[in-house]
Amino acid sequence: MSGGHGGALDAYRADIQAPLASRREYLYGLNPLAKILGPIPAMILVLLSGTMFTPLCFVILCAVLMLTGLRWQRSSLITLGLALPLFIAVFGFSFTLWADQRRVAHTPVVFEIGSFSVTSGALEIGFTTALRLAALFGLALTGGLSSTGPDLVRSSIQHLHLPYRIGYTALAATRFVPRFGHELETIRQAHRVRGMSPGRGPIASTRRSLGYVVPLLTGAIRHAGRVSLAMDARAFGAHDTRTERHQIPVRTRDWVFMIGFWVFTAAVLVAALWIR
Amino acid sequence: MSINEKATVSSRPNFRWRVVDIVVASVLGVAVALIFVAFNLGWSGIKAPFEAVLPGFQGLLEPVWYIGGVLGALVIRKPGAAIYVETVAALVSALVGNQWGGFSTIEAGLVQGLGAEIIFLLFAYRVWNLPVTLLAGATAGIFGAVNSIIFWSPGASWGFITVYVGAQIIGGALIAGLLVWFAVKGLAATGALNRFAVGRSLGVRV
Repeated sequence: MSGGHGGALDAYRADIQAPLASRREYLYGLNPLAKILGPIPAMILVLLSGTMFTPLCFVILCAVLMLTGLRWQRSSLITLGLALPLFIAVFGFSFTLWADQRRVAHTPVVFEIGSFSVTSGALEIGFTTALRLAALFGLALTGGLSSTGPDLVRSSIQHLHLPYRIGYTALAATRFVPRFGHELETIRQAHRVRGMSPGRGPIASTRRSLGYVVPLLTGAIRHAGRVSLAMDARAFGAHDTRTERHQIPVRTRDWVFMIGFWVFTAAVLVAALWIR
Repeated sequence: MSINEKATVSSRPNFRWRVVDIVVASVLGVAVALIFVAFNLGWSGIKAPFEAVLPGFQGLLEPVWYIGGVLGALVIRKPGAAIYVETVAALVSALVGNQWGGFSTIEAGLVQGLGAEIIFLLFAYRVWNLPVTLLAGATAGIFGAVNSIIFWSPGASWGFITVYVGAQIIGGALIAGLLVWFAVKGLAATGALNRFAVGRSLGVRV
């Protein structure tokens, strides 16, 4: 999960919340669990695959899904269009150089750099590895770019029976991250003003950083105490079940997406075995 | 120096997690994750001089990654606190991103949390003194060391394994044990832990 305003740790990104997405951007409207459970067999298949064919299929599938199902700005489209081939090329060549030379010694030499000869076998290993990485990224990003953390937690509580007391409090804790940054700045300024551990260099800065740990934790625990008082006051956790404000239903389209993903994975597996 | 001596509340501990326990454990997890992130960034630079002294000696510092388990258990004092805090910390630091990848980070967090948890479980979550804390830190070190040997240096020589595990045990007791013990004492002294048994026994009422 990256990009967007507020970065990876803003779990509540308004720009990708399901009710706000239009019909055409169908990935946002799917249940987050379907977007995780669908690609999991594919991830395992990609990890186990030894040829270029399997990861290539999933790179193409994920590219098609993301291009048709996500909202894109022109700038990020161009970035992705340049970054993906560049990523595969750079990683492909570096994995080529790391490939075990003894295993590929019998394959024909494609070109030479000085005394170092690059064989077709090494190139194949290198680019298979790079494509595998790209496929794994794609499979994770298809769901990751189109879901929010809160929706995933709500869906897990409603459908996977994750205890809601844990789900919602963990969610509340992620909201502490921006607070920590602010608090750290305050503590740092307070220590500076009082002249604690002055000086330059690594030793002084380490001593200063160690001095921030206890005040930072104290502030965090105090705030957590207030949050839990507020939750207790609203009888959070008093009952076994909880009425949900936002329903994250599992609809027919979620089943279609998930089973479709599994069928595609099975088809790729069969095809990979057939062409070998 | 048992810290239960001054406890005025009933001696029978309540093992059910209250809301404040879950929230504080989650927040501790996130806070520890931030320490991990900072440590991850500097790790290659930090470990170089130690590795140069003796390969495996960097294990002395790796227990910085195990502080979550002991810290969580000492503050919350409930079953599962060590595993929960360490796993949340690993999860958050994996989400932020590091050089080891998501799955292995979370798996390592689980194993390291388990190492600390087992010791507190052995003492039935009733003994919360310094020796048990040191033991928990050292055990987290053993679990963490075995886990990294299996995943990151399979087929390592016995010499390396001995140095590495030994360094992790000592480092675990010192960093994940002693250091965390004093951190919790410091926290209790501020009064922030007054809603917890540890604050009532270690801290000063303010």
